[in-house]
Amino acid sequence: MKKHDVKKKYNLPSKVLFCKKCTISNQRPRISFDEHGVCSACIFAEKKKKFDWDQREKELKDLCDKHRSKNGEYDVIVPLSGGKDGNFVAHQLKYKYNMNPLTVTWSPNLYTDIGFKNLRSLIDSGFDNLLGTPNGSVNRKLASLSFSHVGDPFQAFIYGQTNFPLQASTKYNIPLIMYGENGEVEYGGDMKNAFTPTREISDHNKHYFSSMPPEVWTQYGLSQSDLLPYMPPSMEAIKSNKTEIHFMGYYKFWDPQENYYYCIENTGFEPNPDRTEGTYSKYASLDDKLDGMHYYLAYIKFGIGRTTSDAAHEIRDGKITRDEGIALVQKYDGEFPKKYFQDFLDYCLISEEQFFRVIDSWRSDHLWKLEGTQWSLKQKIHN
Amino acid sequence: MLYSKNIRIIARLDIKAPNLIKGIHLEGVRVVGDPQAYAEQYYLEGADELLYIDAVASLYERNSLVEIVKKTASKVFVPMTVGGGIRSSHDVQRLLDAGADKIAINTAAVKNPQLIKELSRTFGAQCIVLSVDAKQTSEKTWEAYIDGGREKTGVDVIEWVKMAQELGAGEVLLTSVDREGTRKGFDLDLIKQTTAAVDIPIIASGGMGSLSDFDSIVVDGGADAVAMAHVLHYNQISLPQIKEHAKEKGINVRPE
Amino acid sequence: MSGLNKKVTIVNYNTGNIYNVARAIVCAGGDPIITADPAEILKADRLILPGVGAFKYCADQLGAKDLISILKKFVGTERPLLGICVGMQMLLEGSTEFSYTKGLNLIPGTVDNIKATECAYLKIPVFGWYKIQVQKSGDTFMNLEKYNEKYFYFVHSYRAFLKNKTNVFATYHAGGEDIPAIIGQENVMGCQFHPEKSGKVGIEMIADFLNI
Repeated sequence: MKKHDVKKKYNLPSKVLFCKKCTISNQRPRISFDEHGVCSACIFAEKKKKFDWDQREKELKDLCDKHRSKNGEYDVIVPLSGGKDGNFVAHQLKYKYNMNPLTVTWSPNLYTDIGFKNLRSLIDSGFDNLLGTPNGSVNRKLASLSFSHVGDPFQAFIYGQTNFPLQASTKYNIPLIMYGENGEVEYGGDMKNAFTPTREISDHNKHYFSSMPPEVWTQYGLSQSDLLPYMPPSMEAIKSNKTEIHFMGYYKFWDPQENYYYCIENTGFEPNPDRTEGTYSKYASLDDKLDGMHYYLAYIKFGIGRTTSDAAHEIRDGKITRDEGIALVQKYDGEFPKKYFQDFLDYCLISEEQFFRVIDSWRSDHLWKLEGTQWSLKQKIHN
Repeated sequence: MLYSKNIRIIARLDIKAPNLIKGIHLEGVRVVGDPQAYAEQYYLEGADELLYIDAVASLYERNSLVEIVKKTASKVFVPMTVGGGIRSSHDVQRLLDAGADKIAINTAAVKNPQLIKELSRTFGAQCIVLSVDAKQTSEKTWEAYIDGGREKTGVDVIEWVKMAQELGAGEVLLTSVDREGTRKGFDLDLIKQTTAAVDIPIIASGGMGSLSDFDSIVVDGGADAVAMAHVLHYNQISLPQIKEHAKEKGINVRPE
Repeated sequence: MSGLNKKVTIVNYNTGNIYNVARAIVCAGGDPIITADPAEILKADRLILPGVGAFKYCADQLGAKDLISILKKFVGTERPLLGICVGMQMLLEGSTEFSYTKGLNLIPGTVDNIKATECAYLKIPVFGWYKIQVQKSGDTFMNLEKYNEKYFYFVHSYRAFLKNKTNVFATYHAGGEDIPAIIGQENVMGCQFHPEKSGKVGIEMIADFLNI
């Protein structure tokens, strides 16, 4: 199978460098390092500590005052999965800021029991929810195609997760959409919105779709109507509805671990019974059986597994030290997601052999070396 | 009271060195404060024993409690049990030298049950506490978890505790992963079934939320000792309050 | 007696809790000296004999360090000796734990299994907090009355059986039996419990010992 030019596609530097403060490397797309070798996410995290959070909260209150409905209608869309971050946003907006949120969920590819349970608990704790579930056979096809061509079976899900809330916004005339954290900002991507509460819908293509918007799949035999649920509304509709995407992470000091505690107490959230594969925690991203494969592919493409990203965030949040983060990365990063591996193969209708061929086609020479039959990263983090 | 068994009230301190932390379902490392300060306070308020658990020892494969134990031992004069990442006689000796009276062992014992026998022979059964993190899997069964509540083992808790008793464990620290940090009450069935299955004392841990949780786990559950964390750390219930309450309910505890 | 200094010598013979005892002595305002040196032991102002684990092991260790005659000599000087836990048990003639092992024979009596008459309710080893009942018997070099009904921490599987009631200074009740908690004769005293683990009241008792 032909190897993808990962370096070119994602514009990755040839030499692998690790941030001096956290565990992330310069192979994360769109990240930058300063002259001291510190990544943009860490720099931002330091700045974050000094923001005037009272002022930011005031901005949130003003925003809510502006959008709050006067007749009992929904006044904000909260995209969520039932996990700790979205739940926190929804609960805060409803109970602290007196809004009337419509929670909007794009169905995972394959629900885990704990994932569905947590969504149900959120709903039962007092929220309306709109759940969008695409055509099952189309979704499978898309997942399989995107795995083979983009190296991520999650692409289909990401379209829906990004565009379904936009559709809900225009269809229900709710201009305000409130997400949790701005992933680009918190994890060291494009920092253009580090100091603003919003993101531009026009950036979705680059930031979330790997420059492959839903329409491209028509060349693989999917029809316009197949792709309809994954599409955003037209730019005209978005503009005339005055749809805006905001981030709670701008208005409140974002601490994912604190969201965990909050959600246990307020929305009936339960963590995974055991450790989530590929990382050390039990409380993040639990709802999709294909989730693990998405993170595993990031490990293959960039040498950055889930542990690396999770540990990096927790180092910045002051929960663990860099040495502890490194120990966790060495222990868990790149762990093969075997729990749902067979489910994945069945879902995407591919064989194990085909699977490994695709995986290997994403192993860039600048990151990976083959020793006998074992692949290993050329550069690994160490103390 | 039918018998004069004295119920021990144990203050549990989960540590991620150098901090005292408190998680929920053995997840999360929210900082509470300085462990020594809390330990001394609990000692002065009448805790019958202190329990130090290194919450992340198995995760990082290290033992960080020696210094904390040493400092605490110079101020606290009730029995101290220390657990988290203990893997060998050497680890045990270091902690005993630092001032611990008993050690609690989980992950290493599950991986190598003979370790219990070895440690019990060397240090005495009364020194070896089996720590079990139990998660309910069906109405009447629980599974033991290791690595700080992260990895399932497929090991049935009741069978495991029975085996550990045979191998020489002197006591069991039984923590409900489902209840711990939630303040929703102890897992009564878990404790009840375990106290019925073995003779060695059982310390009930995980879920203390109200004073009535205390008497139900002792009277109905048969627990020999009760460990608590959240309610103490966040000043929701004090040790003197529990002792007063126990006295009212006719449960023998050390007064003061 | 020993005057104003607060020195206490702890016999170090390779058994358990000497550092805990030393820390408790410091907390009580004392000055602990840990030693196995016979000369040091003989000139101690006050002596503590600790002990955990098996009687036989402890007795063998004492023998191996040639300390048995030294301790007896020390007792002859009329300076105070306090045995703790197995250290207390060794003050007696001997123990039947495993096979018969000789003790220091300073107080008449033996060490044997704890047999509860209400067996179902007493788990062995006995451990936990129990309150002691101070007996009005014999001479003690410490005022023990104030410790009546106070709780101390016990952990043991074997107990003392004294030949003379007058040597029993305090008992505690477990499994239907009154088990010796404090024993003594003249300048020798022993406590089955661990004063260094018995909280404030234990520290108080150690402080009293420092005043002798």
